[in-house]
Amino acid sequence: MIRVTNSTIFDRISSQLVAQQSRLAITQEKISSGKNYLRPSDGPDAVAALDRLESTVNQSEQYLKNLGRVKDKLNFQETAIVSLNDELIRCKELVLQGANGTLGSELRATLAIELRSIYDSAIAIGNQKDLDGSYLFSGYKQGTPPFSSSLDPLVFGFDGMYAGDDESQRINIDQGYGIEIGMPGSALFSSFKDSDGNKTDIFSLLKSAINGLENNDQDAIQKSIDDVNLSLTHVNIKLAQVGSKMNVVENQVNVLEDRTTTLEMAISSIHDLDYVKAVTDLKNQSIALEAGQASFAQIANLTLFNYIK
Amino acid sequence: MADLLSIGTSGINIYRRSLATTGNNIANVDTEGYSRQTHETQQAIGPTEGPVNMGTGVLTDAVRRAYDAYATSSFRNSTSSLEQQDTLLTYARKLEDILGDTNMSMSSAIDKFFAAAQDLSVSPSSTSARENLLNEALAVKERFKSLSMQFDRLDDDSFVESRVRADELNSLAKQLARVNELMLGKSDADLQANGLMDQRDKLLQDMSELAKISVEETKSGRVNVSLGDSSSSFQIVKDEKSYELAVSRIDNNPERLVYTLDPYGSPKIISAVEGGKIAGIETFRNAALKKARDEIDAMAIAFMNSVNEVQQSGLDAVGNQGRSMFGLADDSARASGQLQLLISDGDSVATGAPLMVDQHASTAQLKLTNWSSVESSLQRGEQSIDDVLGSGNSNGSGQSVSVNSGFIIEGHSTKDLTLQFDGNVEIYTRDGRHIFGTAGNSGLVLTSNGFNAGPASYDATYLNQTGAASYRDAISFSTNGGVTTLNIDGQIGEDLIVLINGGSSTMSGNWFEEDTTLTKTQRESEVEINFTSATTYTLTDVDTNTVLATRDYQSGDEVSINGWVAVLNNAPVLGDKFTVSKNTSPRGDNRNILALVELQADRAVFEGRGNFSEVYADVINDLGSVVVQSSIARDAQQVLTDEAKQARDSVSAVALDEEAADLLRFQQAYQASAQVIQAANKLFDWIVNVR
Repeated sequence: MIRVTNSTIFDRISSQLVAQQSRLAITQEKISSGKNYLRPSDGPDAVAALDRLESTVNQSEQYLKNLGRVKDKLNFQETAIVSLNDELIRCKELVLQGANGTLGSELRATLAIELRSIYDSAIAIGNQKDLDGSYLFSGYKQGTPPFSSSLDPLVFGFDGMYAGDDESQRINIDQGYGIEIGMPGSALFSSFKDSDGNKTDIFSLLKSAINGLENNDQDAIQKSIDDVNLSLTHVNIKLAQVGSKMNVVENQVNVLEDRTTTLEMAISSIHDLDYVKAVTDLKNQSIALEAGQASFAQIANLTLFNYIK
Repeated sequence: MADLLSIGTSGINIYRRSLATTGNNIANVDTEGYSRQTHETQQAIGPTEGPVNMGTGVLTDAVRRAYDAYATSSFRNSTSSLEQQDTLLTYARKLEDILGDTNMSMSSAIDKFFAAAQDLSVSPSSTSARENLLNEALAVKERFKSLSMQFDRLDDDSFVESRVRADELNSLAKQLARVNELMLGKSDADLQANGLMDQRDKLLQDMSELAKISVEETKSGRVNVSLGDSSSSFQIVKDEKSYELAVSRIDNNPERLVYTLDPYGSPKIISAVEGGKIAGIETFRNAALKKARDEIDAMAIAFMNSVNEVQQSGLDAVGNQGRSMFGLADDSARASGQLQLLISDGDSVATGAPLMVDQHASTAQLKLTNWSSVESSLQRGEQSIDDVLGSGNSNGSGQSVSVNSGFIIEGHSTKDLTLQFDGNVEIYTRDGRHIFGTAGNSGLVLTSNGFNAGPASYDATYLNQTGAASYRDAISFSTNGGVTTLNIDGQIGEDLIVLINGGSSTMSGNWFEEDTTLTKTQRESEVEINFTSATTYTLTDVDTNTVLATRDYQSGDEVSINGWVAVLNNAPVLGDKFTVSKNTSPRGDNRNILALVELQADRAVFEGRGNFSEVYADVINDLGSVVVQSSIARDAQQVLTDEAKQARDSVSAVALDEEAADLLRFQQAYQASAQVIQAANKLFDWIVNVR
């Protein structure tokens, strides 16, 4: 039989009380913070998983932010291309009027005046800027206006009047998933063929039409009708490309929002405290502590000296 | 004859002593290190008178300590283990507080840096986005630095504590030596004063909290104490002498502590202190602190190197090659504390790729996919040209035509080359341009001879031309008395295949380590790609108007030369033309910043261990596990120590109920002895009153 001494009794009770108190304090800390894990040692794997999940959420949110900017840029592009399309439709009407054999040279010259303003509008469209002040259609040369009205494309060629480059920006909208959102002016305004199968561009074509009307050149006007039609097809293809990119963006926004929600649910299921369980634990632990304290008082009173009178 | 009065008196005296011993036990119920004492008595035996022998009362035998050497020493050993685990846990929790603090999280700082890079990739020409990236770079640097400073503090604190603990141990050792000295006069442990013995055991117990000790007890009760398990080698107390323990750091391994015994006498280096608080500190420093610091340093270096590498492969806003973003102030110290931001100007962020493409309004579209592979695709040259010929290197020797030997001159490590020979030598580029030789033989242009698959095609346009008409405007030669001397001016920048047939040749030239500036110059030289049909294209060096290659094209083929690689987005047609040249508008180019963004998820940064956030999570996970494990070990050791203490206490500690019973017992015996005296007195009275 082991000899139980006073120090054994007191040591044991006090270490039990300390342990109960520290358990209670931890539960209390969890309840007041609402978190399951307060420090890595509370669950090394879970805390590491949380760190990774939170990093993934941050990244998804960044991609959503990128998508917002991508959407802005595409909207700007779309608006510009739609107005370019409108100008070309008006141009087609004018050239068709001008092709009317009975029309006099004065009236053709009037049509040419309106066509000149369409040319200027096309230059202005080509020099539009987006939200952050960079030119929409100059490739990487975002600080340089890509088109200048003083350079005649029929003299200098498209390459001569175009001050931008052929590059287009790619933006990441997910891990390893980028879309090209830039549209260099050379791709929008040129890169298609005329009715003779030669490379041409919108500015040369407009200039030829103006010259045809001013010079009363029936053949040139006829060619311009075909060429304007071809340019409309080209511009519509570009418009469709922008539209399909907008769809991609829309879908990707949904994908990322779904992913963020799922990740946040995962985080919350690991991270958030189960209050019912925690409060029950707290209750049980405080009962245990009170019982420990009561039994200490009891045992401390239990001595033979009480009976020696 | 037995004297009743003296018997009674002996009882009174003895039980007064017994009561005093019990009283002393009660008084010391809470005195640490006190061993319960018992007053042991023996009967006094009188002389034998005739047939009878009468007892003459009671005598004191001894006042003994309740002591068990085994229980005491096992309590000491348990205490050493507990204190070691407890100290480790305390420090590991401090480290956990630093690394587990979400405000200090390295991964959140690095995430923000990459978020800023993403923002910049959306608006590369925005000055504020450029500045913002540098601000986040600064924040990453500061985060590493402040982690490092917190580590430093923990390092200092634990080092200072280990010194303080060593001093405590030294002071205890000194006191113990003094106790040994006081014990000098007595030859047997039983004769030593109980208080002195208690003091001795208390000192040993206190020492065991600081370090694991082994105790050698002599017959006289004096003790010799050594550090660790063995009782011989590292004695800190020997008889009346104590030896000091000193702790110091080593310069090149700051976490490691060195323990020296008797540093001012005959110093002895102790490899490690086992057990106790001192060993706990040591374990913390070597296992937890060093590991965490090494990991964070590795992270700082991986971050620095990978970001710098991307920076250097791009062009900054004004068209200069990107400079390193981070550096180390002192590369011999811990990296996390030494990180520096080397660029402060937003324009220095290398957002652009070095090359760009002019599409010339072609039907197909050429996209560059890689422009930084120059170093890996081209190899360094041989050490000397003699090595090549001397070793009979037949690299590239073909079978179809008689060729004695051949070798490859590696373009990126030769400059101003001179070759002299009197036999037949043919020199080709890997694309089959025959640039020099005696007889053109298109049959030699085979992949097995070292020519490009693709396939390389034989072309004699530049054969034996010199000056402007020669290949890349670099070749000149002269013949004198049957010996031909060929000079290649400057760096040709691409590999040459040399096939030799007969004669004796000597060659000299300049072989050098690859020069990145030259490599870069070549990469950025303007190249025109012309489709001569939907399935054939030529590559032309624009500066020298040299057709470098004629190659076949199939859908999906890569177009590559000079270290860059490109693909065509749709089918090319006759007349499609592209020019690849140095990027002239890097400010609006975001390709290099996209390469930076990709680092965030790049597992290659840590040799496949994971990306930044995964590796950081591992560090947290590892540290959390250390805390959990040491906490479990500590709790287990606590139980063992409690048991050891109970075992010791059950022998040596005071139980008040027992003392209460003794108190009553001795009181009663005392009263009874008093009655004996009274009886003797009465007997005497009766005798006196007999009349």
